[in-house]
Amino acid sequence: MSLTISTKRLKDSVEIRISMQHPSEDGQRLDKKTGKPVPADFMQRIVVKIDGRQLVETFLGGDMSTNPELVFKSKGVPVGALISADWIDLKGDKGHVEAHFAG
Amino acid sequence: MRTSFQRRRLLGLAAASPFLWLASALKPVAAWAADWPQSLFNMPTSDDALRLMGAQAAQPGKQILIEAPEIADRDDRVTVRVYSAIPATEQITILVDKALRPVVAQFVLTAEAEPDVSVTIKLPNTSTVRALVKAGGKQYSVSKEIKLAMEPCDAPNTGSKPNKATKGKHA
Repeated sequence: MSLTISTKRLKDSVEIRISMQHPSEDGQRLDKKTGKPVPADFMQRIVVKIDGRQLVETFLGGDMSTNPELVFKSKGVPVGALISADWIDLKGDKGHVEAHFAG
Repeated sequence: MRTSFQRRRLLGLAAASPFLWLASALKPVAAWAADWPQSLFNMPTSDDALRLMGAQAAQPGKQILIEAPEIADRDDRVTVRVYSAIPATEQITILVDKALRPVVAQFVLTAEAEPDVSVTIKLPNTSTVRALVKAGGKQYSVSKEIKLAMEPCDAPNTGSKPNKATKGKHA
């Protein structure tokens, strides 16, 4: 369970890509060995901030792809800005990740 | 704690698998996740979810674009982008009608964010995908069908709802 932030300068905004390492189990998939459903476990909430100011709060359900990706755009990302993401999943695992916008 | 959670999960399983989510979601997790709109994400149909959001009478979203493949090659990773040109767009919710739990993602945008988001989802079946946009206190919706190149043929345990239109057909 981890998350990485990458950025890309677009014509008139900055793209912020959130790539997650997560199984995104929806609780429906059957374990091939046991025949029992694999318990639900998916990313629930991700909050992205730029220099401490909230950009977007995302809520997700179980129908994300495995290792899901989110893409946001903002015009308010100065060079050197600190982009952060806080995440928590259904099992309560959580983390805080930061990255600087290199320009 | 662990034992009681597992027992509860087993009970949920025994009752019916659709309740598995609920059983899992009920377990005590960090308060930080308490903001997760559980009832919305547990709605069994898009209509129920729209009703819960007070969006049954959402206006047609002529200024909303859903960018997604017409035909998805794979069911486990489909990129869906929603772009809204409606001023003061503050929230975007993405729903997949045929998913067991149609609400797949909700984005609460601040003024610093462009109303332009992408997410990678599972597509259990050919389905209508909806984007519900809240802007200036009003709700707008737009939908698009994404076809699955290969319909799942193992109908049970796919986690999708029956698709009458395509039942028995294979692309």
